[in-house]
Amino acid sequence: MKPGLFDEPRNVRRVLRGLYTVCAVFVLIDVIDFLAHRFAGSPALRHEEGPLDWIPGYYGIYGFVACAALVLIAKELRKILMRDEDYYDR
Amino acid sequence: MIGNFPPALIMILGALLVPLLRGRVRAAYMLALPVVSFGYLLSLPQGVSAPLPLFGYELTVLRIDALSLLFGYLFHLAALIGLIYALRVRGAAEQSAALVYAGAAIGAVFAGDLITLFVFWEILAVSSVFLIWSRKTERAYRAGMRYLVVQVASGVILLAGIAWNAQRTGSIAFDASNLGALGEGTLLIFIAFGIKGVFPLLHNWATDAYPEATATGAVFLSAFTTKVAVYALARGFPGTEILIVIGTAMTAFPIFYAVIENDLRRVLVYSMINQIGFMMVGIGIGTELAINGAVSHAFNDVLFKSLLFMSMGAVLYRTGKINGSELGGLYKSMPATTVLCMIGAASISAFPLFSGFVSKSMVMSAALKEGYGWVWFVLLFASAGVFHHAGIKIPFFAFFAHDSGIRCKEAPRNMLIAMGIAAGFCIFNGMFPNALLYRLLPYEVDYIPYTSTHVISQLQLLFFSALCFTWLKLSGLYPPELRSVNLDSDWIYRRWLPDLAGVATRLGTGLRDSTLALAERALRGTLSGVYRHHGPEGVLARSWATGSSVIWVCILLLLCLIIYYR
Repeated sequence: MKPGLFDEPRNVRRVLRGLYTVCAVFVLIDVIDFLAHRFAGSPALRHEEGPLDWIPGYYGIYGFVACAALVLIAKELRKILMRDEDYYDR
Repeated sequence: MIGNFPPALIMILGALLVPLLRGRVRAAYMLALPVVSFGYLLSLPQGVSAPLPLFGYELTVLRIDALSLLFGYLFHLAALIGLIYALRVRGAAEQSAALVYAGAAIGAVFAGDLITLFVFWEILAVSSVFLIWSRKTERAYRAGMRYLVVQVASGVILLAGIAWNAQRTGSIAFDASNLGALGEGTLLIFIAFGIKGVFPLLHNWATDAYPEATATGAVFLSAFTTKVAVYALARGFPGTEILIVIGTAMTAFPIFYAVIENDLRRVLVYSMINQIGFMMVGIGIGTELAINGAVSHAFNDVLFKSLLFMSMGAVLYRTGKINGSELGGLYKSMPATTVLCMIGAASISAFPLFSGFVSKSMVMSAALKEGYGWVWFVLLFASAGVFHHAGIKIPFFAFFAHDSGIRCKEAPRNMLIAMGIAAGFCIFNGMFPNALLYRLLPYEVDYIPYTSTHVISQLQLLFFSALCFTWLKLSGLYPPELRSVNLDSDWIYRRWLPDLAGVATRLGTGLRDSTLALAERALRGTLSGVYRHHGPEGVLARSWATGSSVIWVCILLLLCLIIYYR
């Protein structure tokens, strides 16, 4: 079988670079929106809805921290919860 | 007033003929059933059926209104998709069971009273277990048994609650006015709904049994039982505040399990609990916006969750494997399945233009509007989490990650068609929510999902979650997929209770043995005493000479004479 799209490391790098760019763009939009709204009085693209979400990049920070916490806590939980595959069959 | 013939019976009774048919005729017949049933449903006006007297109660076998219709349409669609997906299944038992099961779900949502609900509730339990047993492995058999016990227990509790409540209020009405009043009976009914609705700690039957079902069976299972419970709670307990707490817990705890779980279909069950949590929160808040959010999310969830289950089922069907640790690189062999799976993943993660985006946010908006800031924080965490485990983990470990070396054929055409229909609805509902979904909702929709605020905040949340996954994966911090079992609340009845029973047995045996030993010693003592006195050498058993006997008799007679002489 011919090598797949992601067997080529260059393509993987492209995907990753795309992701980084998108993330950067969204933070930039938020920061510009925040500054324009606060200091130039232009209408906000992203309105405040919940507590704390006036912080530029709030959702990005929250998403990153939430996922990191989720995975790292889950990893620790393995120490308590994980058993051999045949645990219940023994 | 409408007729007394419930649409559910078309599929339930129709299933009886399935074993008599063969090949293409059977396939066509099975696909026709939900279509006919759907057509019949469309012909019925809204309203309730004429009361049907039974044992002094009046049953309302049919109640057709906006809420029941939404679930009714949804279940017909899910049944049709599932049947197309399962066309290659040969066993008539599995196919009949699937039809009866789907029919029972339809019957339950149109039930106008609690007794009718109970009947369909039990049919749901009994028919669905065959979808697990059809896997025909020892594991599946045992998991099915445990599943059946829990499901039947839910039915028994429901019946007890109905009886208790009917005795107190004299009513068997299946609505909020009857069930909203706090009482022992309504509490039992709430718990019975909660068992099928995978409340925390009552959830484990799903994570235990669904992954043991057949590739096709799990698709049906994921669609019906839990959503019937969602409907029942939305019907009977809207605005019950405890549901907010329960639902919030349900969104949060399963995602930790989902991250470390290896069986990808079990990951999906955990994410199903997480999604139902959103619905529970909506029902608990109980405002029009929240209820709309809950039921529209139920509608979308059935479609994207069955799409995900179908894609994993296709992987299981083609490779015979479902563990993340054994899969990877399948995008080369199954490109169409990969794309369809990713549409399901985008929908469950609530990407803009996909279905989850237009429904989940209604619940979150309602939470903010009603002042549940802490709930909103947790739901936001759960939204990031669901993208992490269902949106990324499922497609990544099955289709990408390291190449497992597995080379197989693309999923069969009927499976691709079924997945394609589900994917179509995911995109359609996401892009044009006003065209279908919002029209079906029980309350007037005054909600616009596509605002710049919502799109920007959601995309930020999702892309940074993806960034976090990338970082964890590249830095090696991400926990590897391991062949393992993770303890959950089923440990209580699969390990702790049996162990406890073992200890109790040992204690009992010990007690019995020591009691017996004591009794034996006492008996031995008595016996040896008797033996000493009455045995061959005993004082009382010695043989006496005739002469001495005569003397003793004479003495006795003399004594009698002296005593009685007067």
